[in-house]
Amino acid sequence: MSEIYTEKLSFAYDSQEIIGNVDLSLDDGQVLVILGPNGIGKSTLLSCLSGLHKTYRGAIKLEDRELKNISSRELSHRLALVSQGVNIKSSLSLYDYLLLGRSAFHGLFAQPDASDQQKVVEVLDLIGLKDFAEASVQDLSGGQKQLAQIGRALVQEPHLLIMDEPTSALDYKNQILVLKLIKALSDKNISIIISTHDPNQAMMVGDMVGLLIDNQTYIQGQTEEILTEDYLSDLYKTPIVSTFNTELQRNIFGTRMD
Amino acid sequence: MAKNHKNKIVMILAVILLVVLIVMSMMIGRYNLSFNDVMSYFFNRATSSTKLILKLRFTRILAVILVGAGLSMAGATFQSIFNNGLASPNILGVATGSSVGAAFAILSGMPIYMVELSAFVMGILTMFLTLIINHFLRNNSGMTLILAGIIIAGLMQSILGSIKYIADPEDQLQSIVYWELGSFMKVDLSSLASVGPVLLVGILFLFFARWRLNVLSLDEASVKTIGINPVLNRNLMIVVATLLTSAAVCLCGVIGWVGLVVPHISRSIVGSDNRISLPLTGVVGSILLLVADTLARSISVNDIPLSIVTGFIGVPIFVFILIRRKTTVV
Repeated sequence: MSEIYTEKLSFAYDSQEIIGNVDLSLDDGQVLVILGPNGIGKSTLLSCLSGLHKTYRGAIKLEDRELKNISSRELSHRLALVSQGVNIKSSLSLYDYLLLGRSAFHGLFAQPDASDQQKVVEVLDLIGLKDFAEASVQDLSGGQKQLAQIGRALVQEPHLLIMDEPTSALDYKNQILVLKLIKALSDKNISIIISTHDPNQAMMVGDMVGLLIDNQTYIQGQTEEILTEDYLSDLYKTPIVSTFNTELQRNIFGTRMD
Repeated sequence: MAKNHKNKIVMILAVILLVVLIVMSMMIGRYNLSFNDVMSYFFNRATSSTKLILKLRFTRILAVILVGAGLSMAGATFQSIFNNGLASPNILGVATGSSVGAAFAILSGMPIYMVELSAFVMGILTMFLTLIINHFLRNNSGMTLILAGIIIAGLMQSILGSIKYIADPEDQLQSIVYWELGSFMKVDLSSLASVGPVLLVGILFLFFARWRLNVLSLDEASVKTIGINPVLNRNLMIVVATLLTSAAVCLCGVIGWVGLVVPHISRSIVGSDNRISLPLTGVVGSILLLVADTLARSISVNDIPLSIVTGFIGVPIFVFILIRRKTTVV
């Protein structure tokens, strides 16, 4: 079943069209990776899909309902967003920070209850930061902060998790940590959309890959169909070479330096 | 969790301290009374002369407690939603703006509820002006908000100066000047009865909405995707905090430092989770202002303006906390 799809989605800001003609679709429990150069509109696209920009044209259907018509409260129970590169300044403890995501289920005057706390404990375990529950979020390392943000989204119990360049600010070890978490979440049947700069990461986690080539062209398909030398060279306007690595059992991408 | 346990004990101790201070404050004054006198008052067995004195003191203490809690919680709210440890009713200009509204109403000889309304409207207007200036100055540092506050507070100060200039020096000027530095001397049962409920409602509102304050300290996109309208919620909190500030101004004038310092004291003890630190902020605010007011009315023959005392108490505490740097500023 389809989790989310768009028809001729476009979005303009100050009468300038940033993305146009996007036909995107994602099935239940799959991972869609969106690739594209800087400034092409990846963040705008993800913001539209998250319901942050409701003045889009075309259609966005979440579980076959038009996104515009879903209240932000209901939306927060279906999807969650991990924004790009937000430097968490909060001096809350990690535990209390994650708990904030549970506000999605409560009113103005509510306090978190036992089931909220139970959920936070589960998520702390899932993101592997149980030992840091009492640490202040702003004192965590860059990788841990990113995991904390993902954790805060996960306590909303979303079907669909949207992450804007979740690995871009991280060192290699933490990138892998986050990619493994994405795999694990996908195995739990959470549908995931991420954007990234790195075709290798798309190869590692993507069931589907979408290319934002310019503001009128979006191409999407199975990972193997899309991650070809031709498409990638066209996308990045530079010759990209791929080679099959028998050890990893997947293609890896690079470019010649001469 | 051990931490929760510790926080509970801190809260209970603070409440006990407040109760002890209330009793002590009732004993202290131009005529010192005994513990037994105070107890007999509460059990309705006091002689008529001590009853009169204690009734006056108790009214004043109730006002002090409500204003102390209200101003501190308003400060904590501003600091939380602006993510800025320097935000406070005074620094954002709200307190001065409210006093312009109140002074104007006093000058026009309006009744107390109109003074209250006028103070609130001017408080909101000042907050709005500060936010507009901040919008135009905006960069990523928290300093622009403070700068905007200083600019608008300066403007309000000039307007207040003008009002003082044209006020009747025999009568109105004195009352306006006196109340610029804050005092509970003129608080009586009728002024408390008209302003107290506003303070109480504001305090209860923030108390129950304290978890939401935590959420509002997140960036706007995050708040939205949690299903909460950031603009509506922030504005609601700003309105309530401004209401508290202007109600306090109506009752006792402008009191410095409490709204800025007390939230820092509370956070340095229990951390920055508003679920715990906001109620503690309220109790500590009551304690601090009660101590200040008791000193103000008992160390000299005349009442000392309250901001003088809160300044002498608040400044050293604030400097101490900043040096220890357990909480972030700006």
